[in-house]
Amino acid sequence: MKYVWMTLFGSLVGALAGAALLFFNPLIDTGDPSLAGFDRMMRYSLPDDAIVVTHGGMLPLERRPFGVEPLWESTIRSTSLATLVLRSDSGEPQAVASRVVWPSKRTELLTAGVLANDHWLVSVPGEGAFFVVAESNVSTMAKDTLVAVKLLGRAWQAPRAYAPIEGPEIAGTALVIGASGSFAGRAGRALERYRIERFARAAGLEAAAAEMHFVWDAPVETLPPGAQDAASAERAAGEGETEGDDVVPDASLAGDARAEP
Amino acid sequence: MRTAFIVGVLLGIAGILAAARYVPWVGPPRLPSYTSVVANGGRAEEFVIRLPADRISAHGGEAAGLRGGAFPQDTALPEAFAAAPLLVEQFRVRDRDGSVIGIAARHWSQADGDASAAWLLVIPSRGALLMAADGEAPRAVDAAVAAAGGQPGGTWSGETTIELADREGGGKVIGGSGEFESLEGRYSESWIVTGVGESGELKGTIELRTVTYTAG
Repeated sequence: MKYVWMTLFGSLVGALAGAALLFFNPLIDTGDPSLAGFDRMMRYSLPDDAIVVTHGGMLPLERRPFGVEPLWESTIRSTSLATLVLRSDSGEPQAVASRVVWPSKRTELLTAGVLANDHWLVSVPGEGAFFVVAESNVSTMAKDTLVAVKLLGRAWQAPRAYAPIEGPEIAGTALVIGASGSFAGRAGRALERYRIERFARAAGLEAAAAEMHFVWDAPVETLPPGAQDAASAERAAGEGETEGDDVVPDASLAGDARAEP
Repeated sequence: MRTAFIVGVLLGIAGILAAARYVPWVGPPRLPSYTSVVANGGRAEEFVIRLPADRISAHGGEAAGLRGGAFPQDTALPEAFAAAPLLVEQFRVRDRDGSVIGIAARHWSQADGDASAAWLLVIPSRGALLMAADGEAPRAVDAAVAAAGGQPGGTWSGETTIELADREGGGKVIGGSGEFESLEGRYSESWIVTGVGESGELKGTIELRTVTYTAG
């Protein structure tokens, strides 16, 4: 019998050791992606630029305003919804965004981490609207806030920066899809850099700032069949010439941007 | 005895790591999807929004009319956007049986005189649909209510239907994620307005009908 008890005690110790391994698991940490090639930035701060924030009560973030209805239904309880004002570098309001975040079914704590689907619909007055489709790895953020501060009761030491977006586009970037106006029919990529300034055990997230960086791919022009033939002939005639090549490959697309210094 | 302890430790570590790897930690409850196959291929599905119960928030400029009244109260767009032709609405979304299955955001705006509308429709257990269409004229719902006998600033009850994505066969499904990834298709959007409340809130139903098929 004592062998059974010793095995059970060993299992408990092993489980704690396993949990510690998961906590310090380097496989699920997020990287620090390069911003090379990104040419537009919008930023926001929390809670100031959140017109509305609501969720099912599981997030360490106060709903805003107080009277907004929580997302209590079982099918949407794990989802959060926000209306955000996005600002230019100089602080002028530039866009309004609806942001919906919900846990990803691909979450797996050993090799992938805690993943969240993070979708945006952004309207820029006078320019149009576009979508941002992202998958974010919030493992590091969750370890620093929910585990360290909420669960273990440690004090928040200093502001920390995160780059949670991990896909679905190349080099761990989000997919941007144009919806209307000058963005219609275009696609691009986005990255978010997020900085938590203050986080408290009781109040949760108290202050944060984020930057969304965008780059739009060059428009792809599709020519009608006749025009394609003419264009081919023109290219053949001009073969060897380098002037006039207006499509330059984007070097930042090659390989993983995170590998860059 | 020591061997039993070591075996226990190994079992404990292996159990936790296996749980981390194989337990499905995330699985939002999923209700049956009421999709039907359409004659020329693809699948059709209808989503419903009931007003005012399903309205989560709404913010718009003057051009948005009735729909642009700030909700919840005491919230507002920045002053810089007060005169902008812009309307941001967020709703709960139901299936045709009336069960809440997701969340949607609708943005309406005008750029260079051309109005456009876009929907981000998220069903957490399935994924997201991204949709866009030519937008309605400014104050389109106000005009329809007025045509049905409603007075500006007053309450009204009756019924009027406004088709908001009816040009060139409807709006476009331009992308998606999860189950909706690699889908394209079309959608139509009907606002069946049955009343205007004392605080200007609309009563009625929004019906979104999608027909999607695999891209390519």
